[in-house]
Amino acid sequence: MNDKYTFISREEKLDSEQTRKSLTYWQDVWRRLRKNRLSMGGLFGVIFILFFGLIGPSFREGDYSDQILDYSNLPPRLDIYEIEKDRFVYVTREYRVLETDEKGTLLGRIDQVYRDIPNRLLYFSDEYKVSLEGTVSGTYDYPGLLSSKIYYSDAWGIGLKDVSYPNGDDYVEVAYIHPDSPLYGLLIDGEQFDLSVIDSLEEVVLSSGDLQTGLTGDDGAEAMMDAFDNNSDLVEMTFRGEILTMDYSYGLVDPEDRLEGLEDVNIELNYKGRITMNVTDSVMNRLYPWGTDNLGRDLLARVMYGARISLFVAAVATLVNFFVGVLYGSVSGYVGGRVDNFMMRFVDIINSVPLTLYVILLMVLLREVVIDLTIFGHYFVLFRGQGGLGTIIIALGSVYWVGMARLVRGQVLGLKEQEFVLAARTIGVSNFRIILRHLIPNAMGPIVVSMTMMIPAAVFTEAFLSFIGLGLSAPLASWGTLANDALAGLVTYPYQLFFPATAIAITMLAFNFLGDGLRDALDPRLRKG
Amino acid sequence: MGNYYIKRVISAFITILIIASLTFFLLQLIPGGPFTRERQLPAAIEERLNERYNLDKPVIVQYGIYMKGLLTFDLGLSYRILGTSVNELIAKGFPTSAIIGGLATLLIIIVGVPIGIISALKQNSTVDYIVMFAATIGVTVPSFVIATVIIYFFAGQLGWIPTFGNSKPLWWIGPTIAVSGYSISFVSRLPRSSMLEVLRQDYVRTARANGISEYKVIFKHAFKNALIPVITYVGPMIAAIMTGSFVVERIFALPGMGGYFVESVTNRDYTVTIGMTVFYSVFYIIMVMFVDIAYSFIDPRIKMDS
Repeated sequence: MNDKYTFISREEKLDSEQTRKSLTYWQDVWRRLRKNRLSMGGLFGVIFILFFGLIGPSFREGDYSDQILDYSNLPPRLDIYEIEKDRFVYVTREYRVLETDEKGTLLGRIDQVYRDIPNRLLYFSDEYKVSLEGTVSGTYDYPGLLSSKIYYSDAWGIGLKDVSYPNGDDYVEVAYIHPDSPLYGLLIDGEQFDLSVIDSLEEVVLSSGDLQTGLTGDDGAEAMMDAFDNNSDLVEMTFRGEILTMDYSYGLVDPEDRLEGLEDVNIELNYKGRITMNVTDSVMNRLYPWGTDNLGRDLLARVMYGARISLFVAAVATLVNFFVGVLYGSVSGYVGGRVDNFMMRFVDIINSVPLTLYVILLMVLLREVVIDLTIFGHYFVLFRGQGGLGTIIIALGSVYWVGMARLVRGQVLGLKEQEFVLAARTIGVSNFRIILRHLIPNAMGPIVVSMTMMIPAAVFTEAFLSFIGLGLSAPLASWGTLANDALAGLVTYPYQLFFPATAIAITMLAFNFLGDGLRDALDPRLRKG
Repeated sequence: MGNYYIKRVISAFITILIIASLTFFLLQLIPGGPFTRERQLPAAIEERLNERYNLDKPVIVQYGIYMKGLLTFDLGLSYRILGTSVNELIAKGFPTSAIIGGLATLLIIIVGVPIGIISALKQNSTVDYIVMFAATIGVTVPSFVIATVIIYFFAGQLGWIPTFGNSKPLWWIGPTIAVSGYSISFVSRLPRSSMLEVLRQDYVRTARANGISEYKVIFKHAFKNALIPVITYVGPMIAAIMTGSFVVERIFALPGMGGYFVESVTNRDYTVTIGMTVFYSVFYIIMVMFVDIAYSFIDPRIKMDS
């Protein structure tokens, strides 16, 4: 016996058989798509946008079409001012004063505001009766009534702390200046000293250069403020019959403690000079993270809703393209001959016109169309062209199928010569069934790629149509209409364009990457990867 | 060869006629006449208007009049801008659009093509990645966004260029960039992929093996073939941008053709809409024809009669 060769056991034999579950076409595509990082990024981008549009709006409290005119044109970041302790306001470009909290949640409009817009002045009063004056950009200066506790009182004058804004419109002015608070109105224990009341400020003597003497009343006050502005060294003035001299730091230099004992006195002061109030804080707009549009509608909700509309339009138009284009192309390719020639000439003619032009013409036509119906005296409108979703979908769907038709025809021309089609024909499968079951599924790869690429193209075209005013009409909002609306206020409110434009760009990117990856994954020539 | 050109011109002519007819009947379908307004016109005036614009005649007669006019390059009268013919409107708007479009075309070719070739020659280098990333971004941003960003930053914030006006060359910068932005990105991708393909071909390898200088290999042998997709795209694109970008002209407040077209669409000035569509289509079809003819010069292998 030759013992060089022995039978192997059954287990061993099974073990040596290399078996792997064979992958279907689509499993293989998915496997290769997963390897492509960029297109997976695109896929996640697409999924994100879908979630953003479908689920996003339910996280927003208001509806996309809710208008709150008080809250119009709010930016995503608010520069707030602390007008008094723990009380914050945001002043809009239109000089509306909105109260916010520290974190930037809007609390409401502060009403009864007198707006002197030409002079950029704002006086508003609420229960606290604050009057404000201001340029809103950058620094913020305003006069207002302040109440204050004296925190020191000595030979140098009265210092203030815990400044708050009490009641009282009365314009109270006092001959007192302190470097930290350019005040010159004073109310001590209810007694008012007004600069217009001459006896409280009898004389202002300016030294150092500005030799103006004997000014009283408003003139005196003005001279004093000038001295203050010019950093004059010494100012002398008469106050309550006493001569007070201020040094350049505007403290009172009267050595006698005239004002001693004022610790317990409430003082109300009127700022007539300007205090530069800096932006206290720049905070997120909590209520509207992406700001609002010119009618006070929530921009985030609108962009989310716009995603729905834009993607819906794109998806339906793509589906129409898919059905019409695939049917047209496969019939043309499968039947061939004169029919094919005729059908393709028709496609060529449509294709020889820039498609955008036809979409525009169709939009012009369709927006005039109203299909109505009266049944038993009831009036129904089946289709109203003006600015509706249907119009734009029909316009896009009826034009863009030609590319798909050409593509499918090309595929079918190649496929119909293959043996499996012949086999199907031999066993008597109907032509329709051959197209549906054998040809189209085999051409599915390029079709899917073409569809993925068509969605961003449709989003683009829809945005473009809406942008030139042929698209949807209010309150419907697609990304294109949002961008169009933002155009009017672009210089002042650039964020209104930024968000919808970014949404369009991200969608385009995501679908493009996904489409590129799918093309690579579906191409049999690149199978080896 | 000459036979082909004649055939090509005839088929282009037929296509133009079909497009004009299609557009004509498409707009005939719109309910209501061009003079239907919210406020009813006196019957006598409306009658006179219809008579003046041939609207009292049957549609087929109107079609005949229109087609006859078309053959003599007469596109009819505007319904809205009274006393002005469509030809005059085109003559008024086209120069502006053509200047911007011409400049943009130049820019696209001067910038886009070299960028694409450089990134193909330096495939997988940093330069390539940066250029292709920028091109991808450029393709995804709609032109109205590019235009508004230009207005906002360069005209508004920085003040380098005027926001609108039409007298000085300085002013053309903004619209030109806005019009060409998308196409530059698109065009720069075309020679890249075709160049990559061509460089792998045997004849390029042969040329290199024969010791021909790299410069000659690229520009004499590879470049021509890499240009074909660029020409395919640029031909029709010239027609599209020379006849005015609707969006850019609107944003930069340009008195160009695109503006008139959009205006005619919103004003229901149908003759202007048809006229401009036909004008654009003719331009477009002629450019496509030129592209076909240009193929034969660039690549003799492309047969003319197929």
